[in-house]
Amino acid sequence: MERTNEKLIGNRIDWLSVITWLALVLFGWINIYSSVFSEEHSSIFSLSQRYGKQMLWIVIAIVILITILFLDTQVISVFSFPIYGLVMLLLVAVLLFGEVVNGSRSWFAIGNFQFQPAEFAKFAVALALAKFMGREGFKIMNFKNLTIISALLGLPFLLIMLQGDTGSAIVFAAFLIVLFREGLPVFVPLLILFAVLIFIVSLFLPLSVISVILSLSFIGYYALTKRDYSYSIKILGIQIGAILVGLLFEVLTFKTIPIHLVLTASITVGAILMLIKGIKNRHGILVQLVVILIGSLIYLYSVDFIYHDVLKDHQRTRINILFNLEEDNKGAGYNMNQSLIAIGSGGLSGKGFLKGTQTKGDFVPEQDTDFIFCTVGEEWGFWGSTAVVIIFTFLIIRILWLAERQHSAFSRIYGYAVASVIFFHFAVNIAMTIKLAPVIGIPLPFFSYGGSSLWAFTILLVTFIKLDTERHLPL
Amino acid sequence: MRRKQTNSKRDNILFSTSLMIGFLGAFAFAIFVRIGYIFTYRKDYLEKRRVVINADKKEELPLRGSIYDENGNTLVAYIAHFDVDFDPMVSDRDSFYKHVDSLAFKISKFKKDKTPKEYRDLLVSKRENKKRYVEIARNLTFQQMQEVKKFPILKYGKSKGGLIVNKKNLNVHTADTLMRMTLGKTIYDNAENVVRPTTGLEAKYHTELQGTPTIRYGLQVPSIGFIDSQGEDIVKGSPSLDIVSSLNVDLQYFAHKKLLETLKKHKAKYGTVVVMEVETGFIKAMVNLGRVSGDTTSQNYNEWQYNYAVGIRRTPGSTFKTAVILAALEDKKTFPDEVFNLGGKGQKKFANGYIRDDYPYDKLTTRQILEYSSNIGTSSIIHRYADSPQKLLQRLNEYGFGDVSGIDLNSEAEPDLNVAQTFTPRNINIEFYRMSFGYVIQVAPIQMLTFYNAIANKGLRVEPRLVKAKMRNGILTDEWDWRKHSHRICDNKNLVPIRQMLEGVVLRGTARNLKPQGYTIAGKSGTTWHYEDNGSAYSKKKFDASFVGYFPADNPKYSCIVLVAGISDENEHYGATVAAPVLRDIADKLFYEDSELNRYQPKNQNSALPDVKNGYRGDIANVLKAIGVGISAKRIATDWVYLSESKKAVAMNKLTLNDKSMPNIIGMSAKDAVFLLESRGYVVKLSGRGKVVKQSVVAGEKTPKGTSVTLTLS
Repeated sequence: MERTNEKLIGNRIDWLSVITWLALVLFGWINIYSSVFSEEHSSIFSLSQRYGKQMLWIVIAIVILITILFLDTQVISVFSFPIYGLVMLLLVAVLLFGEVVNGSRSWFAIGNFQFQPAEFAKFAVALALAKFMGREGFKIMNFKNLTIISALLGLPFLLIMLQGDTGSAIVFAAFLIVLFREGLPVFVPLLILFAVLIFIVSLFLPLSVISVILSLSFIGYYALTKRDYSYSIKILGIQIGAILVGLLFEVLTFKTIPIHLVLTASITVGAILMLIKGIKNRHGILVQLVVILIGSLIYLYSVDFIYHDVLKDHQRTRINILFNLEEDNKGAGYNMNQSLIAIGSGGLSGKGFLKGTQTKGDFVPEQDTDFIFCTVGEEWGFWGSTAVVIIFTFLIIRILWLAERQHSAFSRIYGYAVASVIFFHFAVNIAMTIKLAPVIGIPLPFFSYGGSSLWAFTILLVTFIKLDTERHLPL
Repeated sequence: MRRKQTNSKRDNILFSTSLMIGFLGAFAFAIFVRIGYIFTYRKDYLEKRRVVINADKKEELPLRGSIYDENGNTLVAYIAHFDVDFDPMVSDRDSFYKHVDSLAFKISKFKKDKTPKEYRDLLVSKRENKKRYVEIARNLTFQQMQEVKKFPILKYGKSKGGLIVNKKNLNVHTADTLMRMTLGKTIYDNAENVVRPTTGLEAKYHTELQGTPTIRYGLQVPSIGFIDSQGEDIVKGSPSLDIVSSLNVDLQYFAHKKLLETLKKHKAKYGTVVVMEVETGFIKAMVNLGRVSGDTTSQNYNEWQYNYAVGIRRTPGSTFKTAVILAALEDKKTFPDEVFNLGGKGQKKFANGYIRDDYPYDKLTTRQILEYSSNIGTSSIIHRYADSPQKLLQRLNEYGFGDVSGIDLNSEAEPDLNVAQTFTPRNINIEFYRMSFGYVIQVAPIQMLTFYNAIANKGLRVEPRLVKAKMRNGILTDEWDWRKHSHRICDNKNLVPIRQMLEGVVLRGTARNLKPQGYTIAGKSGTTWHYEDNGSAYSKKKFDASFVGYFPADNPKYSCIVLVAGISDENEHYGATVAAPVLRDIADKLFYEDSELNRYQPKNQNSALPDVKNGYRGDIANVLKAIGVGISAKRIATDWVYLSESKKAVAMNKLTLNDKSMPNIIGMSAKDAVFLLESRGYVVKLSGRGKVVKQSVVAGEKTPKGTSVTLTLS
């Protein structure tokens, strides 16, 4: 039985995934070639040029791919935690001995080559999560388990944040998708969406107005679901009364009280009254609503604090540019502007290979890495860009589909992790080049220039393809 | 129960999975819609925005044009050079301190002027004082710049390493220190990245030499630099033009040498020589040597002081007598053989003062007055104008003394006839008589030469001219037509006796010491007190000696003026003994080397080839075309050629260029040679002037990039 299996390993590989991988890598290379192409160096394999180097990385990636396919699956499972531990050590080491590139201390320099351990952290976390959550009888809604999962995710997140590479750190949010698949209640993603919504709204409206809207909508929700109109109106009346008192106080004392203080005070009065009633009458829904309301208000004010006092200037600027709140054509907004213009100039079928003008020259620091998609847009046009989106979507759905057919929880969870990470990178990267998301410096998987990134994603994906070849075997 | 649980669990998973796939699909769809939107409805807006954003301008000038001599020898060429600077604040702290030692070491090794430690201290102190600019190297060739770009830190480029590279046009004077004043001084404006000429042809033809800039629109991003918008909103500039001057390097060199010897011998302050072609007015040589300022007894002279030929007006002395006598002949105030009684005392009273001669002549004819240069004689002649001084003034204006000569230089001094204009029949005084031998009025040497040139040219006054044509990509344009810039100043009939007299000056008169063999020179000497620089008074211990004339006297081809000013020599300070020999040497050289002039010398039969035999094809073809030599036109696909002579025409052959070995550059102009070698990565050193006669690395030898090649020009 086993012998036959080994003979037929070629038959059990999911060739569709491998071909998709190859297509992305090669199309990526073509675009790197185009974006750094110059007449002077026309040799494709010149190692002095980035496309020459990338070609070398691709060859090595193929070697990695073949090696992993012949690895014993057991090894992957057994070494999950050691790999995690090793990568965490590397992340610590890079903080101590790393090179600073573009303001982040996240690179080891070995001779002429640079190596970024953060790229491999995603692989390590995926393995560790799969190992931990793949145990027999694992339940996610358990305080101890949630704590361990948070630690597994939080450690690399913190270490990478310390390196100053916010983009790579945010990627760990992708693992929420895995947790969701493994039983995290549906309100968690909804809560996150709600939080994002409040954050965006907070950029446009004063906090006091949002507070009032929140407060009103919660009271309204209570009134409609419980049909307790009189109580709701009473609370509203008290709140309006509180506001009037505040205004009266202002008129009498000739002191100016900030309007948001008055509003906050009135909301607080209402909330306290509702809380008292809820506890007194054992009205669970009322207590829940008040807790969520107060939570939202605390979140609202802390988000404002984070936005203004924790975020760095360029991060804030990037967000402002996304929502057209600020223009900075020569600084933080430069890449996004040029990227949009480049893509826009591509038209339906693009300008053609090597014909792009906006994306030529190495003046944009991230031309062939994070902003590689604008070369696609300019030279291959709408059809080319759509093709890339379709190939990525296909690959992700294919991985999800493969993941669902796994017999072992380990493989399934790992598969979900792979799909989530690729999806997050793909979505955020492309979204930022077309001004759907703020500029977050993460590469487009398989596409962008860079050995670390290409190898890390290849290892991530191929490990899953390998696991899939032995999906029938218990782990 | 258990089954129900499993079912609900499965439902849950199904729900979450479809939610996720839905989310993914929605996202992919959003991207799809967004891209479609950007490509279609947003496209025009984005194009407009590209223009709005890219509102910064960058002007880029073409490589400045060259100046050639009449034979196509390069006098001034511009070659792209580079300045490399360093902004130590760009790289981050870690990599700066990690690599600053090796950077300092590399710079020190490259420049060899300071130790690595000194450079390290400099770089570190600049960074610590938050200075954004350290000079690394100046005037590098392309190859050297490439080398510096590979230094540690700098190799990360502009936005990460703080490398600043400025391209500029740096001039190479292939004719060394010759005719600098005529060609002009230039200053390189580093801030604006342009050449700013201050004098000479560089200034006069600045617009043509510079061309107009190509204007690009883009974005000046502080951390990156200028980014071209790459759109079609480029204002294309016009190319720079080359200037083909009428100067002849050989003659210039000769005149330079002769004048320098004379200045040293007679301890003069400055001197000038101008040689002009009689028919065309083209200036063949213009030397302006002045004592290097500071030391009044210094024997150092160079071309960096002043354009004495054009920019300074001075009392001309006896050379002006020719104009007065010509006027008197034209107005029939005298005739050549009229005898004047000069009193025989060496001095004679005119109006309110005395006029003196060095020699007490008793009786002289008009002819002899000029030949012997008698002051009393010309005073007697000018006396005939005492009742109508304005008539004389009118003549002088006709002869061109009332205005600039019109030479194509910016700094020409206007002649000063102010005192002459004040004379009326009622107020004639001694100054009027002194005017007859060239005092009271002031003219620049070039204006005096232009007058004598007109005499030589049978009364036709042509404008003196330094530039024969402009050249665009090797094709001549705007060729100077002297016929359109000439006019008759007097009847040739009246010039015949004047020309005889001027010839007599050399045959019998003051300048008989320089009578040449085989041909004749006509001219007039002049000696004056030297006018001190402060302009206040004549110095009675210093003299200006000048000689102006033309040759061969019977059929003039060249005119020439020599001025040696501020001579401290007590004994030898006369125009005939100091200035005239210089003119004589120049005349000899021109006469014996010119087969047209010297019919005794066999015609130069050996070659139809022009002076420049190798070089850039377009240029060569043009030279051949200009001198009317046929090319046996093989169509050859190469830029670099050498010439060989076939029976009736000249053949252009492909110059074999091989990537790794030294090309043959013998016979090329310096500009072509430097361009060819530098473009192939060699470091070029020049010695001498003219065209390449020797290359330090033999042609065909395998030569790595960066090798230094010394070219000997001649």
